[in-house]
Amino acid sequence: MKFVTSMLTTSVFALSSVAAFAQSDYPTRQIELMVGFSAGGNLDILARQAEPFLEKHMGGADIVVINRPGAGGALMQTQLAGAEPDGYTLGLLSMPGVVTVLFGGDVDYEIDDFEYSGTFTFEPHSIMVGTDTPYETPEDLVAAARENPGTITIGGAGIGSAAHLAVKVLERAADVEFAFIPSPGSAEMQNQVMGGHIEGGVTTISSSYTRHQENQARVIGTLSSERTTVAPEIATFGEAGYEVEWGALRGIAAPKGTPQEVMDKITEAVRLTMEDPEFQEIAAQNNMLLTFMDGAQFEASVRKIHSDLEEIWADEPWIEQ
Amino acid sequence: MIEDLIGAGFALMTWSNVAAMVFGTLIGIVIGALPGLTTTIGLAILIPLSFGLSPLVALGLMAGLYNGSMYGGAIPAILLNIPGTPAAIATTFDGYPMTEQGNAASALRVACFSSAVGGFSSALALLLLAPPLSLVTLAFGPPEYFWIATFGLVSIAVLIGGDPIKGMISALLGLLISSVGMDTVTGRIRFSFGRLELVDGVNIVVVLIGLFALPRVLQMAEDAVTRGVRVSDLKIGRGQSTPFPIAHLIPTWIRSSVIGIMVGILPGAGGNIAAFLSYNEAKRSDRDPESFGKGNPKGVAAAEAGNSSDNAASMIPTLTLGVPGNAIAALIMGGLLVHGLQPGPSLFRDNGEIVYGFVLQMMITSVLLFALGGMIATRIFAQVLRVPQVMLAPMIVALMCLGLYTVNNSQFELFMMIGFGVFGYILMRMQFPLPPLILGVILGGMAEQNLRTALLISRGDWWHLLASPISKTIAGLVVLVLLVPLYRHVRERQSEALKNG
Amino acid sequence: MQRLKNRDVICAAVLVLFSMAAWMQAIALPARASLFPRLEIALLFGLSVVYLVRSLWRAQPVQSAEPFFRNLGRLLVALVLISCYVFIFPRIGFFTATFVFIPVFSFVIGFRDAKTLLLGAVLFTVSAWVVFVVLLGRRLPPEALLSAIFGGGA
Repeated sequence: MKFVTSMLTTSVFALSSVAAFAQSDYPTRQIELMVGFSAGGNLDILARQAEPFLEKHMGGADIVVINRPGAGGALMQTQLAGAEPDGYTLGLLSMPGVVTVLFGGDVDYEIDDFEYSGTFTFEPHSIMVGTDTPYETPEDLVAAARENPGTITIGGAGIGSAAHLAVKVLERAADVEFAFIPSPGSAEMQNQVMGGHIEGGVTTISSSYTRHQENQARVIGTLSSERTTVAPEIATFGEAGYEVEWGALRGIAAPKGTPQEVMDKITEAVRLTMEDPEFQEIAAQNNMLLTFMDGAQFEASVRKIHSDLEEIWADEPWIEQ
Repeated sequence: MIEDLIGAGFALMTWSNVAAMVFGTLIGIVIGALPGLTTTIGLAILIPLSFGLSPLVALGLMAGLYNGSMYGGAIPAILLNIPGTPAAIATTFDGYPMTEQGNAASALRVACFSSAVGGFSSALALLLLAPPLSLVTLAFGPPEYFWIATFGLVSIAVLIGGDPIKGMISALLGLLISSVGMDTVTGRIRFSFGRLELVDGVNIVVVLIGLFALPRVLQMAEDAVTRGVRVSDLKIGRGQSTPFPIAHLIPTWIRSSVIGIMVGILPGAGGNIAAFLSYNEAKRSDRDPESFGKGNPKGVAAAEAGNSSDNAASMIPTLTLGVPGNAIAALIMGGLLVHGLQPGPSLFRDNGEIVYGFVLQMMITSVLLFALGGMIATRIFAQVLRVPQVMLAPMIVALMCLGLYTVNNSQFELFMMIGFGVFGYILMRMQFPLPPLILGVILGGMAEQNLRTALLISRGDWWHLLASPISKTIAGLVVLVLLVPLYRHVRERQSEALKNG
Repeated sequence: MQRLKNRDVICAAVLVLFSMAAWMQAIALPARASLFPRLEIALLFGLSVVYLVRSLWRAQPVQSAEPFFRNLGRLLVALVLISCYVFIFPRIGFFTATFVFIPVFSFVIGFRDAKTLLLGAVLFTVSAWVVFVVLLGRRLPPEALLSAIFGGGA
């Protein structure tokens, strides 16, 4: 039994290391693109829609999307950090999730464990309020919060989530305090806002905007400086003078030590995918906000958010130890 | 609503969706016909396997399996006096005597028609009641949801099985399983023992397969039945069937459907209880109660219409509130969650086409029984009884693993499933009911989350939990349900005292 | 009768011990995060004690006098085989492992009809492959053994 197992594992290793040294003609075998969330989620949909275009623009490479959900993506990111840096194991990262899970948990990877490649989308978070609340603009909400600190109820996915930290970042930018009401997910938060059980909530613009269009809730602004292409009439908190830039940034990363040559090939494939009119059409159908950043810009953005969060954590750690 | 319904109707008219419903119903009949394989086991195996299919195809398979298995259970019940599923126990009362009198074919046909009628009326109730109810639930805030979750949990723990203590222990174990992982209200990770796999909590599908399917596999291995049923034991009469008494059965069908629908909506009971209640009611109200148990077709009709009309109705609280009323509904809810469909008002709002599609599928698959439950087909289904159980066991294991592994590519979950299987086996042997445990896992998060959100909104004021009239009503119901065992106890004492005195 | 009573006593005692162990785990967490688990564990402890006292007090009415294990030997063999299967198939591929697992399991448990065993294994493996790989395009672990023997392709 033991003999059989060891024999089998050796043969598996032998198989996987064959192509590891041939980089100039990368890729020569199947590339695994890991997604840290279940199939059917936003990130998974993006991966599966981009996959055929990446294959096309990487010279007919064979890419397969694999779901490794767990711990808000941390399970996949830990695996990615420990994977062979040969360009055959890639991950689709979602910021700020990659950074937020590092605080207060048992996660043992660092943002330095990855090489960053191109990004696909940036979708800002937004604040929506119930239709029977008096708030129409970002200024209204901030003024109300200033008058009654810590009483205006704002919902969003659990403590430490992107939505929760969005509220934290806004609180610091506008120097006010809200009462944050954590909920299991965005759908539950939206029900609570629409039912009038809480005053407002935070979620990405594409999901809040649907509620806005159907008059079930009102989106008062996005947490960004520039207006979005899907919802151009929605104001931004940046315009109102509060400096926030908070949203979901999604791009590809590889384990640290992946050769530059390989990284360049991947980034180029992402760039060409983004320019592909067919992909742009699919993205428009799915309300995706395409934003291309190269590896350096992506990494800079990750580092910026990480240092911002470290600052907040040092001031007021949001998870009780 | 109407647009969604029409849209769903068109969406169902694709080949893959039609195939899913036909196929699901066929698998359901086979699973129901095999003694030892029940609706819950079938669903537990199917749900992870259906992952990756489009949601409507997956739900079509589930709807077909649900309706099909309710009829399938009647086949061995009638032919061999062995109920294929617990819900078919009442079918044996009159079904087997009919077979002994040479009326097997007639009994099977009554069973098939009754199942179809019961399933259809139940789906109609789902279609008419669920959408308006889902709009009302928007008024439910955290306190109301807390009480609903508590009510669902308490009633299934107390009312199912004979022993409320074991039921409540079972529910509490489920609650503890649900507390593993990230606590959304504080962001703290609880009871994960340093495993990243547990940070998101225990995967409900792992618990479902482990608890419902694996203990049965272990039992099959223990029993080591190497022979299937011999063909000569199957007494399907040819040509001697008596004229089909449809007109006589209509009142029975109506009565049984109403009973089944009510049982389905209320939490705690399942198809077997619906079948017993409608059988008793049919017997009580008949002009000739003595003929029941001696091969009266009305007995078969009452039992089968009763257990099938529980089906879609049990989805009413599941789809509108996210509170499944019994184990099967809990499994289907697990299936919805796998496909990213969160029950509650948002389900009807955001996924109208899918949810109405599912309602229609419940309706269509029950009608499909007319076509698929015919005499020739039933004779073929009866042949599955010949498969030796020892070969069935490893095949079930392979299907469980195939399904689970393709969902998350996690070997950790496979071992966790074996762990839950052993756990479920022990609980089964100790006669702990398993449905409260599953409900505990599903409703635990809902109860805790809503209790704490309510307290956050009210800033620590516990009276906020009883502020609205809806909260007060449901809280009152919880207290009433908790008093049921006490009431039973007192009544038993009284009747004992009467006997002794 | 006596045996059945003991069984409940053991089960109840295990539950009491389990709730105490769980309590120790829960108090290590911050109070706000462990409020609900503590509530559950306290209730579980209370009910387990009631269960224990009740089973010491009176034997439960015996519904079935069957022994706890119907056949402990076969149960353990089945568990070991299932664990091996779960351990191996992600490494050597689902279809290779399943093709071996089905006949081995049935044979060890006591089904000795070689023809049926082989036929069952072949039919099941092939139909699983057709349904899940060909029709549904499901991705399964690579068949390492097959590709080692036949040189890729599989």
